[in-house]
Amino acid sequence: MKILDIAFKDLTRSFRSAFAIGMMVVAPLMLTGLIYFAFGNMSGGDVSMTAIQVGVVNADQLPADSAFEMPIGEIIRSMFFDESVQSWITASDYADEASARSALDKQEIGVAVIIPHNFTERYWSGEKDVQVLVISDPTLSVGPAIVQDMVTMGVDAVAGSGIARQTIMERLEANGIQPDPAQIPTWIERYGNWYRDFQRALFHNPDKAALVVVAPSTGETETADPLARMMGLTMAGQMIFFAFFTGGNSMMSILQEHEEGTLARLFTTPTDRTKILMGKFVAVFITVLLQGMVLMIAGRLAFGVQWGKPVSIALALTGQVFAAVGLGVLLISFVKSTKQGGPVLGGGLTMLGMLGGLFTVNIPGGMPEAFNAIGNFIPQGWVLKGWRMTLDGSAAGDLLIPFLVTVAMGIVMFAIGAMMFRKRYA
Amino acid sequence: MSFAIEVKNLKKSFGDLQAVQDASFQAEAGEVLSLLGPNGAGKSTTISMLSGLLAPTSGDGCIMGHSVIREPEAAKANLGVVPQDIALYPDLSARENLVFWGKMYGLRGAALKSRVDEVLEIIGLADRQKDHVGKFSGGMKRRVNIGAALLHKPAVIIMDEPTVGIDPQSRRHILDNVKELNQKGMTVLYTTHYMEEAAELSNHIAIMDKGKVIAYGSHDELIKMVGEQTRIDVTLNTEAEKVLSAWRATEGVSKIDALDGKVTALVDDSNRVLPRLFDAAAKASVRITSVDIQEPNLETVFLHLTGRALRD
Amino acid sequence: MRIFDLAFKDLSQMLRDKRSLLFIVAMPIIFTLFMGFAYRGSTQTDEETDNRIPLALVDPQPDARLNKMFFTRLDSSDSIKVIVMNEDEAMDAFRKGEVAGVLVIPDGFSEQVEAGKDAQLNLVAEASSSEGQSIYQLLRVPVSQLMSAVEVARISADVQSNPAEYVPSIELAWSKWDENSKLSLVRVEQAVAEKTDSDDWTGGNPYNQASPGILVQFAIFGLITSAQILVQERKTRTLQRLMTTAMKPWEIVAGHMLAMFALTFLQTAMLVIFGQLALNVNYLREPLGTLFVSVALGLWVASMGLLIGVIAKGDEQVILYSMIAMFLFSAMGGTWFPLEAAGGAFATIGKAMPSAWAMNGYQNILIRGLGLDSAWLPALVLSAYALGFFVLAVWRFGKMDV
Repeated sequence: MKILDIAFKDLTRSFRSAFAIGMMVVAPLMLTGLIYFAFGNMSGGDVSMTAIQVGVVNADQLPADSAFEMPIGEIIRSMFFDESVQSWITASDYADEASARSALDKQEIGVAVIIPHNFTERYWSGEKDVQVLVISDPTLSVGPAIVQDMVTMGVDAVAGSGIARQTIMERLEANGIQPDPAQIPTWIERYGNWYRDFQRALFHNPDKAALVVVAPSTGETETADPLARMMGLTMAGQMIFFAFFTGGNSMMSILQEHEEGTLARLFTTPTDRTKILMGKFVAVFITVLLQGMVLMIAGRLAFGVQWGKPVSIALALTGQVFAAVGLGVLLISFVKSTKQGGPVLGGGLTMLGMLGGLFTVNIPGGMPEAFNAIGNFIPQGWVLKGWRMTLDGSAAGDLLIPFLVTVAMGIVMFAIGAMMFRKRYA
Repeated sequence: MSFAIEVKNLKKSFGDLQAVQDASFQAEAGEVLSLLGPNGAGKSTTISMLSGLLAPTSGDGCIMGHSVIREPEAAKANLGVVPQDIALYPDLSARENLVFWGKMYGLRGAALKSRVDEVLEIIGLADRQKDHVGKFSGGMKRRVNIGAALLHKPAVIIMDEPTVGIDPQSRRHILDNVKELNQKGMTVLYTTHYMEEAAELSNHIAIMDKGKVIAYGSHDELIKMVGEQTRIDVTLNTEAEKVLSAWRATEGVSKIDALDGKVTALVDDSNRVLPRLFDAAAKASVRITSVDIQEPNLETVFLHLTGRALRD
Repeated sequence: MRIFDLAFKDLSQMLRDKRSLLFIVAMPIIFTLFMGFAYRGSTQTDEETDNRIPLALVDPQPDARLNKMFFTRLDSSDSIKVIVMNEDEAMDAFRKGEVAGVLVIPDGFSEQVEAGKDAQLNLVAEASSSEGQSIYQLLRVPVSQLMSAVEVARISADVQSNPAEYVPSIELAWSKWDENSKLSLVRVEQAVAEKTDSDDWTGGNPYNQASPGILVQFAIFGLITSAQILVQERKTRTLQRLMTTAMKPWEIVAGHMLAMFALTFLQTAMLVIFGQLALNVNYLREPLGTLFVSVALGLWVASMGLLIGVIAKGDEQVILYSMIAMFLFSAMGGTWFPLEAAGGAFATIGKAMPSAWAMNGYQNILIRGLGLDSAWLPALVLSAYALGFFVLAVWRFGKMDV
């Protein structure tokens, strides 16, 4: 009974503390809101990033007697000036490579596309080392990758047309038929129309795309609602980080009581010291559990996060609570005052959170595998694994391993921390 | 005979430091026992051991016959502790604090509720019970601090220097409280370095210095230790070193102690000794700026026993 | 002179707290090492190890024409290592992390495509993982080329009004795509003032990205220690005592700010030296530029610490405000994810953040290889922010309930 009395007293104090409420609920929602603000206009597959500043140098020209109507360079250049891309690409022409490079250095553009002199003629003559040069700001990754992709696609489109023309003509000649040059544009047009429709389907129509990515467990197409998935992961990352913070911060109450003198007073009462510690641990456990539930409900209401199957959610949440409480008890057992607790909690948990991958859940391109491997040793990493699977719609059976690992980690850390507290206050 | 408080050969060492050495004293049920001594004498360490906060290195203490080592919970059930510093939850109300501490002493339900109401009346804060303790004045906090120790109607209450750093009015109030509690049958162990408090409140006084109980007895018994000796406090216009050795050698001076320009001396007969002291001072070209002659008191006793003034 | 005395007192207090120091000194170093290690894993390859991304291929009809063509292309890829499995084996391997994805060619795929009907290849992968995304990008090209070859063969057969032309046409078209694949028509280059042997965006040194990012983030984190000094002074009433002395209020503010600046600058300097000596991050290729940016960063963080110290009523509020500041400026300043990937409004605001300017200043020197000129603007913007926060802090200090 006294255990519950102590727990209730701690809970009352916690929920009266603006700081505690701030860190438990307001901060994670605020940060998730920031991410939503950052990426929120990407629902339904629309990509509305900052416009990529592209500088184009087109030195490609056709000689007067050329058989081609338009130089390849112009085809590539026009991709960047097309109306359909104006919302996310801001293109400008540059006279030469030097001026484009200068613009890059001044950060006026993020990517420069340099189409060399007589590119078309040199390409069709079979010259091997003719290349379109894409120069990018080294600090950018997404924009240059997109531009490189577009240039490659443009070049491939031209190559495809060329291959179409060559194949048809060679087959005609192989069958002893003289190709009619007047028919070539018809063939190219037909191929071009097909290519355009094909690329559109590939990027914008998952039902008709030739290649689709599907989620591992649900089998649902990944591209269905990237925002919902991203917000789920982001919210999970924030929830996990702040759950661990709450675990440690709630445990700081023992240091706070030590400094207030009320801990010593508690020890003068006929209350077993083990019960006093147990009461504190129960308060921490309940606080972290309640926090998780509140954040999940808030995530659902505010950001439309679909957390997954109920049993899977229960397992992921339970693992989170055990791990957060265990780590909180362990960390604070090393600390002697509330003043030290601040940097230890803030710094230590930030470090572990980063290593556990909590802040990089949605990094475009993901994190390197070595980084992901480190997460296997971090409690937050395992909790995140569990939530990833839950958000992916995994069944409870699939979550067994992350659940057991997080609970085991939590128990071990708790045991060590509790032992140290007992030693300190025995 | 069973005592309410019994301390037997209590010892506490912190490494090489002997904070309490072989302390022994007892208090009968219903009496006020003061632990008197300067800062660092070992008073707080002694009561920390009795309260169950520190484990003794050796020896034992009993509260209502229950050993604090072997039966700590039973001992604590009979003990209320008023710590020197305020030990309350500032973000809980006065009532919430008392309810919580009552629960820690095993009170529940209707009994707890009515006792909390009672204590709030006793400490005079019934009308402020819903306010957070953090917003209270220092005096009000002290009252709640005392109230929290009374909830379970302990047979014994320990009060650790409860009047340090407070205004005279609040101090008076606390001293009256102690007397009231004692009149209701509570045994009080009261630690202080103010001898007038010990003199006013106590049935018995244990004087501690450097970890040892150097004297124990009633006020009159302790005063008798110094016999007919009188205490003279002399203020000089310069450092006492110039005249101290001469005064030590003066006939009739049994003990002498100096701090800066103030000298405290125990003398047989102040009428005869005072002129000798003046002569010696004149010879040393030291001017006496004030003289205060006092009847023997606890300060005199302390000086007699230790050669130092209680203020040290 | 008294300003320096006060600053020295503050610094002594801060440096005396060993545990806090550990987190201000040790943590950023540890983080830098880890992040550099993580980036190193993504950019460097070992010649002896097979660095191709493993892909499980589930193909119920390996002898079907298109299936065979496709498999041949994938099997010769430098980037993908194809392993043929049945579906259960493949999914098991995926779950265990032995393969990055599972490409399932549905039954009848070849027939359907050649008959002009829609057919889809399903890639089972983690869309949010780097490998998942890479494998999707890598598969798009051969898939596009395969479908292109089919269309070319169809056109060729139609042109000759001879369905039998389809097979030789598709073979010819596919061989031409094979040849084309060997050409590299697009070359990518980084705009750096000093060329390195490496093609990767970190200039061959993964710490070029990790070091300044961690430096900026932890400079902000040091706010907690700085701001706590002021809060402690109020708590212990030594601030009130200070104000009874001949020290003017602005001198008190300046003294505290100087200490906060000194701590941040010392931390920054330590990380710069560590980066330079231990990690080959060439901060000192433009020492004055690095110095200007570092000083300006210290001023901004100090003024923010001052403001927090003035506003916060206790240790808890210091932690709360400091952590919010750290997260806000880190997230919006581009230290967590590239601003280029964020939505327009967010990225626009983010680029204006002082943290983004600090990153920009260091990146200009380290990654872009630019000179002193490139450090002026970031340093100026940071200093302007510092001034703004300082003015706010002084104003608030004047109104403070001491």
